Amino acid sequence: MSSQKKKAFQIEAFKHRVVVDPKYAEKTWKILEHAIHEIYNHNASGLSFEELYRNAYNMVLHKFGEKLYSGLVTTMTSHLKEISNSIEAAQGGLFLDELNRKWAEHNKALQMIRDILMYMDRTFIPNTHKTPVHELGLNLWRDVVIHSHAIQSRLQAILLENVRRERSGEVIDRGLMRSITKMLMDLGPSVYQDNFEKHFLEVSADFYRLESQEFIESCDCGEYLKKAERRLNEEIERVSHYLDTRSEVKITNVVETEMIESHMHRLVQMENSGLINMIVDEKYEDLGRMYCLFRRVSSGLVLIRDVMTSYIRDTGKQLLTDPERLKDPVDFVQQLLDLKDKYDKIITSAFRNDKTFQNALNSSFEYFINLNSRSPEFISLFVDDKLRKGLRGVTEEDVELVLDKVMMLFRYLQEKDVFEKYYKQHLAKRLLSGKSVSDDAERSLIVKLKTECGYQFTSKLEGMFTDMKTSQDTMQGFHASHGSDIGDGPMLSVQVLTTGSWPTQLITTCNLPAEILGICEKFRNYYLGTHTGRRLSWQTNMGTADLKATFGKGQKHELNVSTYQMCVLMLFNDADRLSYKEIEQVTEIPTSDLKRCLQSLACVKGKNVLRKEPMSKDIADTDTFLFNDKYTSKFFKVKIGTVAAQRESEPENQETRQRVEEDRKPQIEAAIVRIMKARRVLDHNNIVAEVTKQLQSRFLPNPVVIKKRIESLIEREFLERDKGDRKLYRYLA
Amino acid sequence: MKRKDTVKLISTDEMEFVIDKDAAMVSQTIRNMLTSPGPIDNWVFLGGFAETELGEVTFPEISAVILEKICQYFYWALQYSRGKETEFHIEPELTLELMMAANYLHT
Amino acid sequence: MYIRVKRSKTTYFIQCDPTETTLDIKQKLHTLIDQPVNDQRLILMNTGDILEDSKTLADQKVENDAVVALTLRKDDNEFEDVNIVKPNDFYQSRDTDSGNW
Repeated sequence: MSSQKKKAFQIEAFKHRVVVDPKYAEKTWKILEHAIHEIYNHNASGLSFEELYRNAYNMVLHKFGEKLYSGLVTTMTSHLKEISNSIEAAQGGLFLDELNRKWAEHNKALQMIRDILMYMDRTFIPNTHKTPVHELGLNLWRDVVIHSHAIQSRLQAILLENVRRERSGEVIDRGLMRSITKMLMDLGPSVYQDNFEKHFLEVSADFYRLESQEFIESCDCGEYLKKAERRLNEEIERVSHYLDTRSEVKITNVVETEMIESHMHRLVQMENSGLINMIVDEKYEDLGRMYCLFRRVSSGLVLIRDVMTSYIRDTGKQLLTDPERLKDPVDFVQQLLDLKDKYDKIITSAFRNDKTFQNALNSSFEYFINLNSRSPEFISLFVDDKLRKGLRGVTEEDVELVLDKVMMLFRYLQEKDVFEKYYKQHLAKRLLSGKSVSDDAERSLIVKLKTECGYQFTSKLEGMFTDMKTSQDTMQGFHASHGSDIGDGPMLSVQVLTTGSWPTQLITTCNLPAEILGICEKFRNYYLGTHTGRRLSWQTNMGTADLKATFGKGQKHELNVSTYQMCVLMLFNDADRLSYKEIEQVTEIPTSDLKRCLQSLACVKGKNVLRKEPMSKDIADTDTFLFNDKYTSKFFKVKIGTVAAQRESEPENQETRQRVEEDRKPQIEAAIVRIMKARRVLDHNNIVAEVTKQLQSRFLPNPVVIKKRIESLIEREFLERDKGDRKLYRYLA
Repeated sequence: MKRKDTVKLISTDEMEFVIDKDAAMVSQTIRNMLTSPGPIDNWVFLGGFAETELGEVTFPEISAVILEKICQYFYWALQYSRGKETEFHIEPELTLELMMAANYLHT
Repeated sequence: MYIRVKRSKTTYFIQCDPTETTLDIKQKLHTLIDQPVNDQRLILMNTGDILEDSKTLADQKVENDAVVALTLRKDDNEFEDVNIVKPNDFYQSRDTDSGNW
């Protein structure tokens, strides 16, 4: 196409057809109007797109856009009026169908019209800020059809009726419903809301209000919850099938309010089937359901938690103040553990491990465990029982489980120092009598306590273990050097206890039998030979002895007895009959111990190697004791020792408590001094608060006691009171 | 018979141009024309325009030269969109008519 | 790329690859005009060369947007003459000097 020489470029007159005919606009419009009619009458196939497009294009180009636009509005409106009439004429069930069909047709027509009028949409409309064709089509539909009085109310009624029918179990045409709601949404969210959603929610609220009232009168809690859950799921499903997704949260809200929130309290408290019953009967599924449903409602979970908590507290309180229960400490603690297990299981299986419930459970336990001041002692006794025999034959993992459970209870204790005291005592007994089931288990527990409370808590306990080991070595050395000397004499086994580590005992001695004294002296010399500067004192209240005894008909038995019991029995080698007073005089055993000792020797069936006159249950100062040569037992070895740890008697308990209080005083004082040294000046209330904070991991200090300690410190010139303010204290360096 | 993926554009002087549908749809107007709504829901068929049925469009107001140039433009646009960046040469004499046609065809 | 195949009043825009052969083009045309490939002859307008079936477009110097004439075999087994209708065109009506191209 290239030319040899370039021609000057000439601008020609505009070659487009110039409008000469004044009726041009009217003619062109008529063509388009006719086309729109044909489109609505499903006759488009006879039309040429290009021709119509060109006509519309030309109208706009020649400044007849306004005429085109208003013509469009008029024509479309009149068609929609016809359509509206035909919809109104539809009978009953066909109404929705007809509406849906006409809507689909209108959409299609609208698209085709928009396409041929595309040029106007692109240019004229933005310039004049008019509504674009597609939107115009929707708006007209909305105004002429949907908001036509007859149609609007009928539409709403039918839609709601369908929902009602479906709720009562009928099957409805969900696809049709979907198309209709989608139509409303396409017309604008407010159209959907005003024409349908608003009323849907109102009607649903009424429906569920009534239904829930019916249910609550006729169902028990579990059944009711099942029904509520079913309805809730139904609604969610309904939304997914034929409503707008944004309606979901609104309708679920309605169900939650009417079915759950309104009846929350009544459900929980329902007699024979409410929350407490479910807990007692371990209805995990029902509890889980209740949790899930109540979670949806504000303060639903709080209600469950509160009711559960007060029930746990009451149960716990009952358990801890029931004198029958308290007679058997081991069983008592097991009950506590069972209780905890039960609730743990509920929280895990039904309450989704909800932390707030865990916390409520923990605080309840903490509350009632400390209601009884003997809890620390009992827990220690439980441990003692386990470590003595309860854990025999148990796998290592299971041992750990049990110990962890014990630690869990330990954490709840406010008076951890009391526990420490008892634990030490019980441990000492276990170690000395060699009655521990597993050394590993003992050590494992010590480690756990150390992790929980720090090394100071356990350093003395570890000292006890060390002493035991050292004593073994010492005994080896002793036998090696003196083995030959012993011959037929008694075999001695000694445990050397470092005073600070072991529970403080009042030094009580008794008179050991002559046969024993010799070997004891030998040991003392041996030991002090290698450890100068130390002092040894025999703890006669803690030892054991194995005696070979021969009875009347020559039966031989080996008796395992305590040291005291040995002292008493040896006397009967030289006499068949002795009075209480005589025994007391010779042995010099302390009274209460002696009475206990004699009781175990004379009054216990199967172990009565002595006879008592009179044959009463208790030991009186005037009693007489005889060797029981008629004693029999089917066992060769008989254990008569009273070394096992036992629940303290009341007076013993008082004594221990007193000692604990005494021990606390210096701890409180140390805390006060520490605080004052750092702060220099502090008022009374703050000191009390700080001291409590510092010591609460061991025990809860009594404010009265704190006050007394402060006063004591003032007397000893560690602190002084401020001259002006009596409540202010100052540290004295 | 004509392949389904081509269309025929006819100019005012009855010259025919057979091009691929892809190329034709570079024009929004032709695109609309050809993607006319089809049957809905299996029970209503409003029918598209005549053009859709036959696969031909007549432009009584566009000449063959311009129409051919436009077809060439369509192909050039396709190549450009695939990454081949060359120039599209327009003879100066054609410019005005070409622009008008382009406006008309929404290209 | 594409080429313009013209015969009489019709122009066919055919998308193709330079490595395709003349035969490939004739196949494509076959689907449009229902004439078997044997009855088709393609002539490159630039040079007047008849395109050979087995050779590629690149080999025969057929470039993008090239014009190729199509002739069909007549009943007497001979091929028609090349006949392409020129648009009655504004080049002719516009130029006051007669067409110098």
